[in-house]
Amino acid sequence: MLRYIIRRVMSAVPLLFGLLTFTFFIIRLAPGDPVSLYIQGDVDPMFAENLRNALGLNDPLPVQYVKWLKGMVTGELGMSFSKHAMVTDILAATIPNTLLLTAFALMFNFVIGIILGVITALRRGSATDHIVNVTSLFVYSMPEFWLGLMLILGVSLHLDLLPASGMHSAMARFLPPLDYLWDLIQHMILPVFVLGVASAAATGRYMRGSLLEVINQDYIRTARAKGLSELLVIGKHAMRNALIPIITLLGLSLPFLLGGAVIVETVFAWPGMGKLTVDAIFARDYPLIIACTLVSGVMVIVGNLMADILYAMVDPRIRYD
Amino acid sequence: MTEITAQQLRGFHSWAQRNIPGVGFIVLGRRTFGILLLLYFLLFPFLLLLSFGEFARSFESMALSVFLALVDFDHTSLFLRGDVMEHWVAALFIIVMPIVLWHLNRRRLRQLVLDGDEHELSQWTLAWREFKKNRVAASAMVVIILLYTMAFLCPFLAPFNPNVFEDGLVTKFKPPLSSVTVLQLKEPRIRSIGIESLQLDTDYPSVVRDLVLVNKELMEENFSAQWAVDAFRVEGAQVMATVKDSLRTMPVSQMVSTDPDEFSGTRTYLLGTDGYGRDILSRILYGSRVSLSLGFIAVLLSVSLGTFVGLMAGYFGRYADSILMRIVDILLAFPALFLILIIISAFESIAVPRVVLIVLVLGLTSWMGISRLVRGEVLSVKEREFVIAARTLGLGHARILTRHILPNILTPIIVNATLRIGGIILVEAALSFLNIGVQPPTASWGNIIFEGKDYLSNAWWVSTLPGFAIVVVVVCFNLMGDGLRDAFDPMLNNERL
Repeated sequence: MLRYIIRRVMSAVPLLFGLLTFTFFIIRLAPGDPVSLYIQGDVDPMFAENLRNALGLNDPLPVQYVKWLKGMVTGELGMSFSKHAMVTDILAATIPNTLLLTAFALMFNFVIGIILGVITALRRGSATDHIVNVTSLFVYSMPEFWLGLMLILGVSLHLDLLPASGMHSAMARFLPPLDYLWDLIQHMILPVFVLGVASAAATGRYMRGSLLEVINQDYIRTARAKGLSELLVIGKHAMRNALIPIITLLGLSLPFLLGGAVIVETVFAWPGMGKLTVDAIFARDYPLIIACTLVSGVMVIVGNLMADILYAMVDPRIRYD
Repeated sequence: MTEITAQQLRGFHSWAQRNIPGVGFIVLGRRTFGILLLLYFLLFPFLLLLSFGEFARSFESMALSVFLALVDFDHTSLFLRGDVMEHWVAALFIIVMPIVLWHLNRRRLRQLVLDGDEHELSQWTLAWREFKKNRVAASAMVVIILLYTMAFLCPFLAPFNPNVFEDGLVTKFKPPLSSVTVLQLKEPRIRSIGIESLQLDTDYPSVVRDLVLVNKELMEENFSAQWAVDAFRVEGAQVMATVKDSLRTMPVSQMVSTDPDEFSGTRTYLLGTDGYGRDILSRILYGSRVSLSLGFIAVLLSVSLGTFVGLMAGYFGRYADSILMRIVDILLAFPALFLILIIISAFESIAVPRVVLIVLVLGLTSWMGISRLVRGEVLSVKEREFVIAARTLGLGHARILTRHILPNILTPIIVNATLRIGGIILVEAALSFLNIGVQPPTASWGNIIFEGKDYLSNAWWVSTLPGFAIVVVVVCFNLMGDGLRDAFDPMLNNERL
């Protein structure tokens, strides 16, 4: 098992390396001179030249690449243009917020998705099955930002049940801890729902298919023939196998969730990495954009790695050596 | 087709049954298909009669422009205007589409009459037959065809100009189905800018003058010679109108008539207006062109690229395979939206229209899934006997790939492409919503929602209605994709997962 994990981690290294290289070449391919972003107007050409030398932009490309790579690996992501702070500090403040949102959305996705999948698989062809399937199709085909706006319109503006945006109320700092938490939860409900619901629909569909496939197999008939209760047959025998392909979805849904976070955080003004990226793009804050892209890429790679390892742990048929 | 078959066809059916699309099918017992085809066909002459003037002017403008372009090619950029060319496309579409329908109808009827329905049981025929049985998917396809037709014809269909906000103070944020009072004027108050000032140094000044005139008429068609007011009264020779909080006057002589009952009327906004007083329905119609064409072209691009990479990786194997598939892995590790954001932000300064940039970026960032699919298919197909036979015959790689392998893996590619269009439309809308997509004033469904999002509490309809349009389109593409998959893969039909 340990060997398998080590091997998977090792195979993620070239992927990370490729990610860094790819990012480097995107910046280099982009038209325009990075120095012109720092200086404005009629600056002495000598000054620009000196700055270029100081930044190492006159070095040959391979040298620049190695230097840049070294900075990235040692965590020197540079200075943000627009926020006048170290990129690492900014990220340290926003990544937890995004992780909070994504983690709960992931949980929502799997809990609701699996429940829906099991219900529709067990009542295949019934009215419930059809209603859930049609609803899933519509949810799946809905733009996330629009769903978010509609929920703000209905739930926040008309019914006044939940806050429309932000992470905390204005006075949240002065609240006692439990009220503070309740305030945070209230702010989280809508973004988590919007972020998780589309992938929950997809998970439900996969779960339905996977469970249907398992239910038709011989060992389930055997279990039923032994006189086991339906709860035991489905809950223990069938679910164990049906859940295996769902774990792969765990890794696959991460890029979608992180991409979705960009939209959802913008709609709900959630102070996370996604909103940071969008703000950075409008401020043409290249170091920040690159850093956000890299971090999200690393998150996806790590997520996939974890899903693969989990997969190997759950499914004994996968050999570790 | 030979002479005999045409005679046979003549013997079976009357002229109308042969030549009016749909009638023949109704007679042959294919009611639903026939009626739908007939209705769709009749739509075009109907539209032609309804807006014949606009149609004629579009053709006149096109003919004059083509003539000028032929005699004086260097100045084409001066008199070719996007908004005028939209009218050409719509006018051409009205003419060409019925002819295409007529031709397809005749060909299909001939096949039916000659061979019954058994003329060729190719994979495609079987799949099509299977697809038609699936009512839901077939209806989705009908809706998609109608939407594309609407996108082509939107200059003729849109009730108002989507970008002009001449009476914004009066017409802004009108809820759906509401009306405003308008005064009919003799001349439009707003002139389309840039048309009259066209200065061309040619040997045909009269042609230029005609072109300017016809283009102006064409543009002003949508500007409507109307003045929207809150209230008005006539005092002597002046019309006193309330506009928002101010009082404005205009001589009665500028109205179409002197009788207040005749020169006043109402204008109804079916889906309401936005913050500039622009008609939402017209903007949604115009916006459909961005979403529908962009989705289609981007998918075409990504599918071609993905298929090419997949073919290379699967067919040549070894180093090509491992290198290409590692690249795919790396690209898949990026969350797609981040990748798109970073590329657009890096390249937005280059001199390419934003729409083209978005198509390129969406196409170039979504091919990875397809290439994996294609690679897998190629790996299984290339070991089959007919490929080995082709190789034994000494055929070149290019020929084996295009003639022997590609046709055999086409169906999963088509199904996948259909299912992808919906996703791409969603991404495009999201980009417009983040305000880095299609730039205003060009309408796209995403940026209409973006423009309305700050006014949710007092004008819900601005953001809500375009969202429904997106949902309808994406649902239809997904349903059609599912239907195609089931049709091409009959094994799946028994166990629809």
